[in-house]
Amino acid sequence: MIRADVIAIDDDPGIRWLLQEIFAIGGVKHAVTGLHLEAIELAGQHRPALAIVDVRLGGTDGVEVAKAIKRVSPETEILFLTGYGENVRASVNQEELPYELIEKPFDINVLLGTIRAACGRRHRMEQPGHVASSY
Amino acid sequence: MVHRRITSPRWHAFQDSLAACSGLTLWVLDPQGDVIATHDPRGNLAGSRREPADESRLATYLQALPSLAGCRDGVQVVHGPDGTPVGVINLPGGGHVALAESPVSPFPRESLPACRPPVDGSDFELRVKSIADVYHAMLRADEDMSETGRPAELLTGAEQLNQEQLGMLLDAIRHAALVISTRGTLALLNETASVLLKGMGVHVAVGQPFFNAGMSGSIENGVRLALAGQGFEQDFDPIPGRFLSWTASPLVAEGGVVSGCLLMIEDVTESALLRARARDWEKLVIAGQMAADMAHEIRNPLAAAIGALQLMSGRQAAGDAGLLQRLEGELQRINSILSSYLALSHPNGSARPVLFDPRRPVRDVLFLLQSDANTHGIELVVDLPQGEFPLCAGKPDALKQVLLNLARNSMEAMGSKGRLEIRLEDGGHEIAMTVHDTGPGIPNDMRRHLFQPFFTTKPHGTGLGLSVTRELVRQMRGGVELSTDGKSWTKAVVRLPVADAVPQTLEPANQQHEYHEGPDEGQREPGNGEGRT
Repeated sequence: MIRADVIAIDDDPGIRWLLQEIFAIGGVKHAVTGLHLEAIELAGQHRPALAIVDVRLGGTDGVEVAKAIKRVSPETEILFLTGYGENVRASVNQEELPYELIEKPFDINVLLGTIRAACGRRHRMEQPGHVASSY
Repeated sequence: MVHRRITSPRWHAFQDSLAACSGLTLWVLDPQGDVIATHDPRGNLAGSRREPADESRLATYLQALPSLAGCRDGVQVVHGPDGTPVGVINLPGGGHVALAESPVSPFPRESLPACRPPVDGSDFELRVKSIADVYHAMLRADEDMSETGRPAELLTGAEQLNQEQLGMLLDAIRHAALVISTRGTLALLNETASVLLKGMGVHVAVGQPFFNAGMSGSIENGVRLALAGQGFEQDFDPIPGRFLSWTASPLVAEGGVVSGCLLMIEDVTESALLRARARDWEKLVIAGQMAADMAHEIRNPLAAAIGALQLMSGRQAAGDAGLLQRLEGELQRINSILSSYLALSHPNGSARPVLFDPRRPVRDVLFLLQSDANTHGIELVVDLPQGEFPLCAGKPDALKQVLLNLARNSMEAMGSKGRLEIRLEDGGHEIAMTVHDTGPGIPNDMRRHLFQPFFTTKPHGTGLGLSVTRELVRQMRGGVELSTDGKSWTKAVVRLPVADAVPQTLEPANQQHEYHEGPDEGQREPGNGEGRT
């Protein structure tokens, strides 16, 4: 199994397609799914640097998935990709669940930048001789 | 508490006529000042702590009622613990009848006037619900007396009653109360009723014909039906600017003979307006929810399409770049339209209000308006004052939305030619934003519906623009007025209080940050960006 650096969960097929294209361009090792449970499973298997999670209206589904991902893979960073930025900011506590947020529609380069930054942090973390909390 | 339905036919007839009445609470008190019975709106007679009344005692009481007419002790007003005035009449036979606009607890028995000893020492129990009820009982009893040889034409009771006393009692009623005789004359009315009649342009005095005096037709019909004994009519009768809820009940004697009509009118304008506003609000909330759902659903394909275009522009020859850019720009525009609808899904707004220069949001939407104006062939004239300008408190985006709504309405109304003026003025304690168009104006019959959600004259309109506009302006503690000559112009004026006139709970320091909307702002919220530890 090739270890994915990024997993993405979005139930919209158009967004899944776009994400896969972006991952391909950026050479990002990835796994993409539209199913919540599968996403949590993938997080456990791959321990990715970043999980991109769609948050829908109400926000609970995506946020719960993110929390579950954090439980199975605590080092995975969370990026919410949402059309409801306001709702997420209002309802999710950064202390409880640290996250970044990109609103749909988004700029490809901004997304790639975020992915690379997360992978970079993980890469440094996994360097031999790494001292915790160096970033 | 014993609840007991009294079944005597006479009591029954009495009660039937009470059932439709609303208004006063009536107590009957024994000579010791104890409240001795209750009568609830469903017509149940409830006994109190003592044994419920037996029918012979009730009969005694009913016989005591007509003597009210001859009561010379006068009506005295005492006050309940909360200050509610209570009118008290001494019953010549002992005990009291007391009336108040609302239940009084505990009953101010210590303030009761002294009364003569009871005739028979009875402590019958009774409580009925309206001054009109007493009056009716009096009429009933008078009629009984006529059977025993005493001349008692219906109105005699009223005429016998000390007018001053009755007036005081009736005037304590919040509702307008009128009694109309079978001859169609006004037998009795209270202060509320005479004010209301005056307001309605109805000029009729006691003893004069009630009908054709200018009262609304539906009320007159209700009274006629009641006088014909056809139950009672209850309706909601809007007169210009007022909403009236009224009840016309026949006063039915034993054997089904109608002896008059009791007309109770309540002015429910305030509550009707409140209800209407609540309905409007509900519609807005539903619309906002729909918009939010829709916006999210559309944002997914939109995001995919914009992403696809970005990918494509990286791969295409330079010649196509302009076209692709244009296409992406249009998709972004769809997104900004969606965002504006999304803003409506939070009518209370999740963003904090800030202090802002109202000229900025106006300037921000000008380019959008200019392109619309160009498309429509409309001349756009903008007058923004230079130099110092007062700040407003609220959400700059809301003001943008307001201006967009008003200006687009104007442009749509003008069609393919005309002149749209947008002006911002410093009015000292408030600022005024005026949107003036040279469109066809607004017909008279539509003006009152303008701010109702989903009211639209456009084939594809949502009918939300003005209602949303008003809500947004209200949230900034301002007001919006529309004026029109109905043929050649319409003017909308939005007034917002300047920030100095608003309690200072806002933080001017945040103004720049919260207000400014760079293209990347959405992705750079404090707390989730690069600065995270």
